Amino acid sequence: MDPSTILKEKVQNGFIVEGLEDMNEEYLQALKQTLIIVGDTELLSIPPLLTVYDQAPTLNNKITALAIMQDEIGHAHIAYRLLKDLGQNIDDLLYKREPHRWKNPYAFDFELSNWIELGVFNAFFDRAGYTLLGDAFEYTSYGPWKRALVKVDKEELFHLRNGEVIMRTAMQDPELREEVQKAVDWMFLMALEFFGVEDRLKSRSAQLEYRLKGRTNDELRQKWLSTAVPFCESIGVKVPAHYDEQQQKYVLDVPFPCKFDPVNKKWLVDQPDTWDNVIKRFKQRGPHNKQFVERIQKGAKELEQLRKDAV
Amino acid sequence: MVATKRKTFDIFARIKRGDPLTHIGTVEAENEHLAKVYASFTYDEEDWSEMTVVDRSQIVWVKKPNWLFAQKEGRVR
Repeated sequence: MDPSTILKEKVQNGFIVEGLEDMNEEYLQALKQTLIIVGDTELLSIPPLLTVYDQAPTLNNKITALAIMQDEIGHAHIAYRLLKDLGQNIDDLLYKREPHRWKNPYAFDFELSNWIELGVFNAFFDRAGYTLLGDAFEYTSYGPWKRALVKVDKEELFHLRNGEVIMRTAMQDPELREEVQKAVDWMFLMALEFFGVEDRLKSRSAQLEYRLKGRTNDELRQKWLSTAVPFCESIGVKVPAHYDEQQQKYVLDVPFPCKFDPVNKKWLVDQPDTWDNVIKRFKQRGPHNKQFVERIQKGAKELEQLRKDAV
Repeated sequence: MVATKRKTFDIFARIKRGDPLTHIGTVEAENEHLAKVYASFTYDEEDWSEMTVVDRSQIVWVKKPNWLFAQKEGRVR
């Protein structure tokens, strides 16, 4: 039997991979690719949050927002440390990579417009992170990652609860109610895109075959919907999805995917789109991709220059 | 860049008295003093009863797993 068949069979039966000598090249590449997406997503969640954190209505809100950002840096640190143990050069990855080559979600290439959007960001996007990483925590075959996710799982739940509190509180104020609805209108479908291409369009997935994760994209999207939709309904926010008794699953009331207007942060729900075009949009990046990545790299580059000047 | 002189430290912690001392993560640092600071700031998810940082190069292995693809010529490609 070839190494790939041996490893796939073993991990499907619960074998836990502990080091490089347990991997074939395909497993290593799939794992690295996954951890880069995770690390980049955690780290690049911070620039959008920073755009509005100083609009926090109370000091407690501001402290919580900063604590959440500190957590995200910690989570990114975990993913990058695991990558370093797999032989990846992290300095190159963090400080020498072009902005368009970062793997964070398209949703994180946008500035937030107000404090309410920070709440919806936590409630929707951190929920997506919690769903994806919760699945990895439950199923992943890579031991070091599974153990590292104990901390991440706990903290992401706190983030999404913080978002829910901000949304619920805002819904009690007639003016802020509109802001919540406006934020949800663009961030809901954006969160659903986190889970990627529909299952029927994917021929195979190394992530699933090597059990880096346990559930498919569509299953994870359903899991997100199963908590996000009831929460929104409970506070009186309208979402373009409902539970269909006949199909026993959540269905969308608008075409998905559909075209998006990045300037006005608005979904063009009368213009259905293909996943190929969505991937093209992801690759073109959102409006603040360059600015946000440069912000992450700025300090390291300046310090490097100072060192050169000193020599 | 600047990370060339950094060492890897493994972090072990115990949540409360009586719990096992568990490997909870790693940090990179220039020395053990900085490793202590990085560890306590990065891994603040619990109010640990005990936490240690150990220079990875100082760990003496008695036994390692039976690697799936252990071969003389190295990892299977």
